Amino acid sequence: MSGLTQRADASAAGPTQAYRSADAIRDRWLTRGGMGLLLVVVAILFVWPVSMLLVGMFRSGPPGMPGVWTVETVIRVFTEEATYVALSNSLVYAVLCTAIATVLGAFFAFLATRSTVPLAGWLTPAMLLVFATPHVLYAVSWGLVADTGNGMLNLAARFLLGPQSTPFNAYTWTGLLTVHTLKLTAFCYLLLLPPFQSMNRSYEEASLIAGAGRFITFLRIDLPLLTPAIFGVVILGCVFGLGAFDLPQILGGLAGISVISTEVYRSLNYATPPDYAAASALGLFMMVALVLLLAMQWKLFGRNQFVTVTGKGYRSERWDLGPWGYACTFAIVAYIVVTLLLPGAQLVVTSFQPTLGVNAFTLHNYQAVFADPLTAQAFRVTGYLALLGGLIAVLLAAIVAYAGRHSPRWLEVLLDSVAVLPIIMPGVVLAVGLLLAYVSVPGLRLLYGTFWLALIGIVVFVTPIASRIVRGGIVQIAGDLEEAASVSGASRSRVLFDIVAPLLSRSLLVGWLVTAIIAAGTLDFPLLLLPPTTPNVSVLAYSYMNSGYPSQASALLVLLICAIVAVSLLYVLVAKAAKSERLVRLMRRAGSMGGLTNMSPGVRPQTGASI
Amino acid sequence: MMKTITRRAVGRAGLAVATTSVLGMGAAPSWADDAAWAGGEANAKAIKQLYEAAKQAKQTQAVIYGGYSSIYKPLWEVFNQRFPGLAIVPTPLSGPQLVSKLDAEFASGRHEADVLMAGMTELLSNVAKDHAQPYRPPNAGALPERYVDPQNRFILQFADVFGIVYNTDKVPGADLPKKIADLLDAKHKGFIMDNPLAGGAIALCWIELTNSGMIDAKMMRGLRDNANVVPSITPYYANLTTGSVKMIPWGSFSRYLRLKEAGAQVGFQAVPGMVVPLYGGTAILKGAPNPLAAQLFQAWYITPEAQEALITKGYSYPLTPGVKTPEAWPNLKALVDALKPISPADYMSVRGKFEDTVRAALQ
Repeated sequence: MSGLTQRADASAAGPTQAYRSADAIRDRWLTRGGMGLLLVVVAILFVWPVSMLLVGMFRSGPPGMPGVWTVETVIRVFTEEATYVALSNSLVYAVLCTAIATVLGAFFAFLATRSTVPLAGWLTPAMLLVFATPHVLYAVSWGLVADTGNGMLNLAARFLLGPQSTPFNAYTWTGLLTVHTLKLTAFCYLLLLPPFQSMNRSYEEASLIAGAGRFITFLRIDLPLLTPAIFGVVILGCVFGLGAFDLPQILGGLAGISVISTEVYRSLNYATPPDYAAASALGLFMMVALVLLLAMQWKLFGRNQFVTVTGKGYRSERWDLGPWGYACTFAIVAYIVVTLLLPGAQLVVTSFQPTLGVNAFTLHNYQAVFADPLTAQAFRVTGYLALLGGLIAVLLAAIVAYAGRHSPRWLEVLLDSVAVLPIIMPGVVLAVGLLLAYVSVPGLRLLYGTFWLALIGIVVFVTPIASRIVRGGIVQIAGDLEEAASVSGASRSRVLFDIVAPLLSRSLLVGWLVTAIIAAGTLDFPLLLLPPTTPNVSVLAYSYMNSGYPSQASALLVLLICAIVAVSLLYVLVAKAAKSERLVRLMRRAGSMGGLTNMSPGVRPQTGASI
Repeated sequence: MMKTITRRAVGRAGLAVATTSVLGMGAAPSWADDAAWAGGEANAKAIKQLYEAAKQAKQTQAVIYGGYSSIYKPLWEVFNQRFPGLAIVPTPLSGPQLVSKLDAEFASGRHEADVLMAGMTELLSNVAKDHAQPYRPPNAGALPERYVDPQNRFILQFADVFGIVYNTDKVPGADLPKKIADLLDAKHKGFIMDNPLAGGAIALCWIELTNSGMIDAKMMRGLRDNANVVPSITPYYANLTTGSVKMIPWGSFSRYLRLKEAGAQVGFQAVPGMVVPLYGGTAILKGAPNPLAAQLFQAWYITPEAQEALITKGYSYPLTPGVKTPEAWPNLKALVDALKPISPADYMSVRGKFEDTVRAALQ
């Protein structure tokens, strides 16, 4: 920021120079103060609970509790054969699923944003539904769809191929990898939408005019420009893959597949008291993976190398794929049927069954859910947690990314690392770390048993995801846009709110939506941190599951998915209505700033909502 | 004396439960008019005093931690009808979350929980940490003394029975194991069990069986090799219903009843010497924000009203003598008598020895 201010000051002259100098000093102090405050906030939110857990690896007692220093747990974990079997399984699982899901996600994001393929408009709602389905329900649904007993896929196969035919089994390596990849594709798609929407068609046109074909243009122009965003998705996909629990536990359990997360589960559940030290030690694998991936990202993708949004001509017309469009439409239909309709139908059917796997139908599950006095309150709490938690996380991620962009490289790297740090710990371990960290401090202790501690937990949990989404968007914005505005006399806040925020709005909105959906479905933090009298939907569903009524849990979660879809649709409508008005406003503002006067009315900066 | 529960037997049980429900639980006014709900005038009077004291202290709820607190959720409506203005707040915490949350509350002094409702291990573990506030309800005499901690730190009030739960379409009744050793037969390969070191159903059942000399290290290895060992049994009751899992040798009777009621093709076989009853109970926690409400709850849970509701709404065995379970249910006393008893005082040391045996046998 200070560099920009200096340049602005240098352009000033005459009697206002003294005021400008005073402004510069004030700005510098504000910048330093703001940066200091930001560092304190991220340290308290992200570094403190995680470091408690990391230190806890060397303590004999649970985190924050009495104990003695020891390396026994770490040695035991790192010398056990089971750890390395789980690690190799996790690596195969994470890398393979992420690779395929990223390719599929990118392919579908391209179709949805850059092509005129029929039915491409169905992709985003379908991906939202898949993404909004909690992992545990997705796993249970797929387990039933591809059950070797009377799963609908095998029943169909037997009808077609004979009574002995049982080609599908979700409880295998293949089943596990397939189901995780399908679910992860939706996540990758949603994260890749904003970068694809921000692609500048003029680069492609230049390539085409130079004689390159469409495929070559995609490979040599589009793909390289998208690499920071794609790499961000790969980072999240890999780390999520290493930490994935519900799918490996439910689908991999019967196949005897152990991964790092099931080893974490073993550490916590097979010992009395729970062995948090071993669980944290296992989290180190995720930390190593994260550090390696982040180091690669910083090394490969420096600043301003992947700018696609500039003040110059910016176009994003869609491609007509010709006959290939029909093949792509077929791919869209196939994906929606396999990923959404099959498990979705199973989920809805389950919500009407008296219990899982019994082919009878009843309204009792919904009646029980609606009769429960906690249901309405649980939806309210979920709404507050998801919307507020997602909003705070995405704003925090934006501030961290923006401050990093205008800081020395080492500070940018530090801030970027800290913002993703919580992702290395499995949810339940991180929730415990946060709980014990806050109750150990007299003032912060007052937050225990209130909604606010659960909200802090949610923010800590989803900020790493928000951080990758926002960072993917911010690196695409050219720095000269800010400089031009600043040189033209725009204040720092005006540059931030009138230039950066609108250009980043698509990433911010997608980030908010994605993190809110994750927050709505998460269990570990609300279960530990919400007051007992105000559960959210996932805690209530867990309560139904625990009580032996999984079909009631399904009914409740179907209602949650409906609520998420309703909110998302509302968001689409509002975004579309606001889009044209915002564009006009932005054009007016841009026209009033010297640095952006070369933007013609036909030039569209990155703005507006897409989902 | 093996007891296989068939569809007809369950039908009879359902009828018995329904009858009990209509005559007893469903008809709250008839209970309200006399003191039978509390097991006598003296108990009713003492419990009413607890209720009045809780009301006077403006304690409107009792927060219960533990997985059972949500399993028995339908019972809390009965409590609320009996004591208007007082609610039970269930919190379905178990395993590491339960331990961490209680540890955090005791470390910080910010207490939310009033009562812990859990199995023996979690109760004893918290007693050992000095988390339990001793209290003897006025009607505790209704329970056999072996179910009440001598220092009144916890009370056992309910039990579940763990035996063979199977898919009746996949496993003919004649093929069912008659003794533990039968599970080693190749025809039963692939039955589901969780890891004996996981602290789950298998661990708890095998502690009792090892203590009674019914199972040894060699048998443990054989069972593990013939089984499909999963992280947790709970998700696979659905597969039992669909038929992709044929049998869970140590499955919950309570779960079986719920599945059966929902129309699943499942059966339950209680083989004496193989089937294991597991107990659960409650402890009032130190620093409880609503101690009077917690005392009222603990006293109520022993009453015939609550113990009847455990059968009809909780699908579990009551422990208060005189409260009859449906005839189709395996006889709890016979199952208990088939095993060598472990006193609460010895339980943790027996468990420790069992874990050493399992580790030596399986690792």
